[in-house]
Amino acid sequence: MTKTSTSQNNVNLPIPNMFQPRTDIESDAEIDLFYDQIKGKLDRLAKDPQDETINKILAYSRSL
Amino acid sequence: MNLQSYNDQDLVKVYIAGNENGLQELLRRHKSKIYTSIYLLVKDQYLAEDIFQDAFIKVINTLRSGRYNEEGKFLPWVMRIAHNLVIDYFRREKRTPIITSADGMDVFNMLHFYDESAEDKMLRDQTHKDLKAMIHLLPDEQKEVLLMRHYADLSFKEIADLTDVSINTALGRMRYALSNLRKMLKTKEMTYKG
Repeated sequence: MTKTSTSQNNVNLPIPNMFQPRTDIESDAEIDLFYDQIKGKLDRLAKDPQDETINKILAYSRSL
Repeated sequence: MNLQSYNDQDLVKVYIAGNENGLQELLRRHKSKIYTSIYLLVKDQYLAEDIFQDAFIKVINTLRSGRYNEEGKFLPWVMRIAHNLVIDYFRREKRTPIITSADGMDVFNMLHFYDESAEDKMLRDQTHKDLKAMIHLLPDEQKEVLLMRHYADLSFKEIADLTDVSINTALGRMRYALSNLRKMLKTKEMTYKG
């Protein structure tokens, strides 16, 4: 008899099963509320490229 | 000419007609969205700067050559170019993004050795670092959707088109991304309390 199996590559997963489809009850409303709560924090991670990069792009455009 | 009131398509037309200010305004308007999405994917400022620059070189070349499809929206189009450049980079490097924080620290050590008695600013900075580290821990496909949705402000239809999946899959990935971030934050809170 041939045994078949599906390999699992969890090498990069920090906590086993953390990213598996959720089995606990977690309502859409809870997720939406959570998203509203962290939006401000996510916004604070936003970054701009350096002015030098913008200037290089504009200089390239003007050179054409 | 006050270009700030122009929509993206009009700015593209202005630029194609030869007014450099059109490009300048498009960059001012979208640079943060595009750059943040790239930066949080590649986790390296200098690499992100290079990819951002390369993306706009492609944008300029396409616009100047008259190959731009006016039916498409400007931002999703640039995001697609940037996204493809990020994928190209990881293919070349034969590695996948994820796991350690930008400064190379072990993410879980960073989360566990939180200093509860630090000043407010330090707390804020730490929360900032923690959240960034948690985003990096998300599986790539979830991280991509979160970044495209939150930072690039793309619709789920646009994200679905860009990543070649159905709208439902894009929606599901966003849900899982948020759910996983929530779990990680809960775990961190329990660590503080424990």
